[in-house]
Amino acid sequence: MGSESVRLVLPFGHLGTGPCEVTTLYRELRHPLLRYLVCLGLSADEAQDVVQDTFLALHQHVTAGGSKENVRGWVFRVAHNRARNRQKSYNRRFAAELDAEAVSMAHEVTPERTAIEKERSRQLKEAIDTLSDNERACLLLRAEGLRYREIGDALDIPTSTVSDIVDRAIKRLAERCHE
Amino acid sequence: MSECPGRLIAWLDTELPSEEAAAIEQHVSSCRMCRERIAMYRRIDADVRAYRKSVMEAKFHRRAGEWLLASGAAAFAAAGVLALFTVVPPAQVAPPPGPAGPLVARPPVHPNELAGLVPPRVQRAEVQAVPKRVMKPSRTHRAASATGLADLNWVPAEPAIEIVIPAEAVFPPGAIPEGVSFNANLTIGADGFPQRLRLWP
Repeated sequence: MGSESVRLVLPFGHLGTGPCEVTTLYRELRHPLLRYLVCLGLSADEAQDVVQDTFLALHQHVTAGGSKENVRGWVFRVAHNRARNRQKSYNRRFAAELDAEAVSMAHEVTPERTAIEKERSRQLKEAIDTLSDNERACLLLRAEGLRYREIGDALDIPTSTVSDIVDRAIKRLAERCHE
Repeated sequence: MSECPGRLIAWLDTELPSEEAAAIEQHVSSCRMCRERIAMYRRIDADVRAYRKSVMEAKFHRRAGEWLLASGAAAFAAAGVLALFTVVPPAQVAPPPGPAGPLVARPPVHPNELAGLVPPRVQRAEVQAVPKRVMKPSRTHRAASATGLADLNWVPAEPAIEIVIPAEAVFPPGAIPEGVSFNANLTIGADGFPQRLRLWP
C-alpha cells in the first residue's frame, strides 16, 4: 500500500486478554441463549437484543475483573433477568399470540406434518404454558445443556432443588401430553 | 425411589456423585417402575427438543421472509462500497477531528463488534462529541446478521478488520454533515478474499 492507503485499526493486542474469552463464549452460547429466550416467549428481535445486551454486560464484567466462576450460569442469569424485565413491561397477551403464531408458522413451513404431530405440538405448547416460571425455565435451561449448578445460579435457586423442579415439570408435561 | 423423585432425573443427567449414581443404577436395573419413569423422561425430552426446534424455525424463518428485501438492499449497498474499494484508489484519510483523536488512539474495540455480531454501542457512547445521529441497530443491520437459521450458525473468520472512513472520502462534498464517519466491518476469509462487509454510520 502507498501513501494514499486507508489507515486500518487492527486491535490484535486485545484478542489475547479478556475479550477473547467473551468471543469464545459468544460463539458457544449465542444460539442456545437465543433458543432459550424465544422459548421463554420473547420475539426474535427481543431475543437478539437481550443476547447482545448480555454479552456486552459480560464483556464489561470480564474487563472489570469480575469473577469467571460459572460464567455460563452468569450469562444465562443475566439474559433470563433481562428477558423477565422485558416480559413484565410488555403485554403478555402479545407474547402469547406470537408464540401461537410461531407454532402455526412451523406447521405451515412443514405441511407434510401429520395431524397427530400438529396436535402433539399444540398440546406441548399449552402444557409448557401451564408450568410455573421456575419449572419452565429449569426445563428449558436443562434442554440447553446447563448443569444443575448453572441452572441454580441462573435462576437464583438452590442447586439441590433443581432436580425436583425438573422432575415435577416433566411429570406435569407427561400428564397433559400423554394422558 | 419415591421418597426423592429428583434423584432419578439427577442420575439420568449425571448430576449425582459416583457412589450414589452406582446405587441408583443398580436399583434401576431391577425396578420396572423406575425404568418406565426413565422412558417417560426421555419421551418428554424428545418432545421438548422438537418444540424448541419448531419455535426457532418459525420465529427466524418468518423474519427471513420479511427482511429479504431489506437485506438485499443492504447487501447491494455493501457490494457497492466494496466495489469502490477495488475500483477507486483509496484517498488519503485524515483522522477525524475532535476528542476522538487519531484512529490508533480509539478506545479498545471488542472483537465481536469488529465482526458486526454486536453493535458498537460502547463506541457510539465514546464519540457523542461528534455531531451525528446516534442510531440503534436498525432492522436492516440486524437483517444482515440474522436472516435465518443459517446465519445463527455463522461464525466470523478471524481476524476481523475495522475500517473507519470519513464520509467525505466516499460521498460528494456537502452530501453528508461534517464530521460524520462510517464504520465498515470487513471480514477476510482464510482464502484472503473478503467474506462480509457491513456499514453503519
